[in-house]
Amino acid sequence: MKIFTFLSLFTFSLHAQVIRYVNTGPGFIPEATISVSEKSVTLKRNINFLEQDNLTLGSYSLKDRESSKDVIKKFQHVDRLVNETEKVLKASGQSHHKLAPKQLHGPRYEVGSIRVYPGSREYDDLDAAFKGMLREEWILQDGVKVDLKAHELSTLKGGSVVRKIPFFKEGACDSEKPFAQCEIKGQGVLSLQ
Amino acid sequence: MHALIFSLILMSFPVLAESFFTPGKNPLFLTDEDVRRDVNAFCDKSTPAPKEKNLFSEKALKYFVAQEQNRFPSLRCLDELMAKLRTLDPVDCGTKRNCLQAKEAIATYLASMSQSREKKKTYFADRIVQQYYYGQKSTPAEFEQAMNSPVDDCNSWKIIEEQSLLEANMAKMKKFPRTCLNSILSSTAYQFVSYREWLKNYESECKEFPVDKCAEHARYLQSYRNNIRDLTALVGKSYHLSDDEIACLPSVDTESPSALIDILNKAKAALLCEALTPGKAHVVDSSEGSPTGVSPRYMIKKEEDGSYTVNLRMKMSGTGVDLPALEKRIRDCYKEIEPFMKGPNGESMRLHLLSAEELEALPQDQRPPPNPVSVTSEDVRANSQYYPVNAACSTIVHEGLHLTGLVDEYDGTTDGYTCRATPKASSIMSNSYSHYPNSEDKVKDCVCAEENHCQGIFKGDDENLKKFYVRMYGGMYLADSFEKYCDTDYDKPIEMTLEQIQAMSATLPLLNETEKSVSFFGYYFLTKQNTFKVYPHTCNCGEGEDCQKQIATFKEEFNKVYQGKSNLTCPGESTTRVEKIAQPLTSPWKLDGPQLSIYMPAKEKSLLAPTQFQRIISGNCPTSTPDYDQCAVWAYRAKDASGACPGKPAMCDSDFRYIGIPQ
Repeated sequence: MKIFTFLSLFTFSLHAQVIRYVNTGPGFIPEATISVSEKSVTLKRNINFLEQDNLTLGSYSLKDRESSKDVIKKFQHVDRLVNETEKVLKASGQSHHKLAPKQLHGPRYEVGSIRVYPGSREYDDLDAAFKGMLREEWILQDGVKVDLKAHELSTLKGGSVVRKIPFFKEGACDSEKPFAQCEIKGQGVLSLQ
Repeated sequence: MHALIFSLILMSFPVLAESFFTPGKNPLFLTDEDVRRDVNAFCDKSTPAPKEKNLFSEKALKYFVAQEQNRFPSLRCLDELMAKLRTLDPVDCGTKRNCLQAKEAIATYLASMSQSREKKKTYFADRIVQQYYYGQKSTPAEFEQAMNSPVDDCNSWKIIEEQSLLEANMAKMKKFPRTCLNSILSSTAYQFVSYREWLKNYESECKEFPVDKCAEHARYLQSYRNNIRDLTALVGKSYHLSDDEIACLPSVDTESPSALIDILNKAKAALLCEALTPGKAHVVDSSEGSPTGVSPRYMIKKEEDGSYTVNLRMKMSGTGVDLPALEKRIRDCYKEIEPFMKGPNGESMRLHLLSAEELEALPQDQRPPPNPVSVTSEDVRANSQYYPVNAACSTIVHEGLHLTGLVDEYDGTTDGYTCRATPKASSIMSNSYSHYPNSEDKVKDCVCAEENHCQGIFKGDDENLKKFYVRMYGGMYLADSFEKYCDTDYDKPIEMTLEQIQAMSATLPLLNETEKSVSFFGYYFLTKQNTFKVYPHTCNCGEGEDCQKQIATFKEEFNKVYQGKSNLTCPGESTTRVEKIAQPLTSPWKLDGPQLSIYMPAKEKSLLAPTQFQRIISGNCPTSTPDYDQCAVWAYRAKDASGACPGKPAMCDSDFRYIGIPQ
């Protein structure tokens, strides 16, 4: 029994909190995933939503874990909250998914395998915690970065630029009010104001 | 004896006696004014309930309404109707004389509705009164006998009461709006099911409880049977069937259940499928069901010029956002797409968001139900009930079309909708971002300042060079399937002058060709020095393959990419406008002083696929786009445990069958 308890705690301490944002709809599907583990805090995204002045897409690491500790704590708290709520719901034959209002398509958060839709009690908390994390300082590790002034699109690997290619908004982006959408092959969509 | 019974009845119901003996107050004499008033009271919240004695029997109507509410709790009229019931005085109809009056009233009413007045008058009047007393099986002789006999059977008495009042109500319902008529049809179907249930019970319980239960079942059976028959006849009348045709409608006693259900379905379809004529409007809402599974909420009107207007009503909410700005934006988007909302035969359609004033000005029965929309200030994707304040027009249009009942057509796996049919052809419901710009005619106005360069090119007659010039700034490469052979060399750009390009304009976009490889203008742009910086997209032959053939394929494929490039660009500053190009273009560009206009006609014929257009103008008609509907209902379903979608038609894989676009 003691061994079991020890193993449970050990497992819990190694458990990474993974929250994914996904917004389904016609065409491109924006996604962002934040993972918090003891060793690292990472972000992977295929759209620069919330930050249209940050023209990067790909995988990131958090710049300074210590200065972001309060935001991380909130993130971990809401992760636990959703998991605990799901356990209670499951005990009564329910789940976040089952209780969600029916929608054709749209945004949701996924806490592990638990899907939380707008209208759920935890959605707003999740949204705030997730966006709070997004606003922290991140370092692009693998992905792309666009420089509109230099007309360049840089590819990064391990935090270093490995390739630069020309990039012209006029030809690469679909201009549609109120912003331009630029599809970056294999990476996602950059949204330009 | 008869007189005694009659007197006793009258003494029991003094108020009713007065009403029946005064022709002007007889509740079964229906005038157009009666009908109009009752229709309003039935369905119109804004019209106060009439103060005078009501025509409905509380009991009969409670029964009718209770059935309806059980089956369709969301029916719009029912709450009002129930409230009204609480204020009713009971009305009775139980003597020979009353029923004769009913006969006359209903016959008059029906006759006024018919073209062959006398024939129908006799037919319906006899038939209805016959039903009051003895049900379907009575013969004319029995009827005649009944008319001259006292009514002394308690069960029959109750049936007469219910039936005669129901008939009166039914007669009025003939002028009810579509929604109300639809509820009659639903009621008929419900009564049919109930009849069968009672029949089962009758057969089993009559053996055990011959006195109490049997009598109860018998009464209800009679009641249901009559209701079904009458409602079925009413359905027939609603569709202008002849007397003979109505007489041939299946009967609950003689025909199989499926035949009756079939006729009811057909009748319902006929009601919902009534074609719009110029000036007419239909409200389409989910209380009538939805052929696609997505609840529609709109009003469609056929204008005098034959075009269609789809009116939407949105109830927006959101804090800290400029709701009027979004409303304006939605209207602007709908306006922008107007020229591109075309039907398969060139019919026009416009989406329109109703303002509060426009809504107020509409007759009650033309007001679409509201669609709740939450507005957020953040940049997130919309759905039909959730809009970011800065939503793109393509999104606004896609979501607006959901409110007309159209379903999503993109891969629904991420949402768990693994049975969704996903056409290969582009559609506003599958990829609004890419389909939308291809469905509009656009004009790009460019600053073409340099006389010796930009202006020089467009004043000249080298059409290949002009084409090359407006295809700058975007990378062009072959599809992933050619990745093994082809790549863009970003490390070794080539600098070329206008003269050099001019010299090779006849073979553009070919850059260079050798025995083993071919290079194209993959990425090229204009430098500040008015030279072209070019990144070649080079394809090499595979080992041991027919190189000549491969190079021919590379050239053919790249030429397709080059010709198909949709993002034509300007050499300098530019603005884009959406403008319907009325005439076929003789030239896709026009130079006017320093302004160069590039015309980009829509690649798609319409923003809407043919069956999508047909679905919208057909409202809830279940037979107008059967293939589309059969596939659309799978849009929000998941595969079963075995990974299959049992029952999903194979034809949903055909774009032509589903959305009407040839593959």
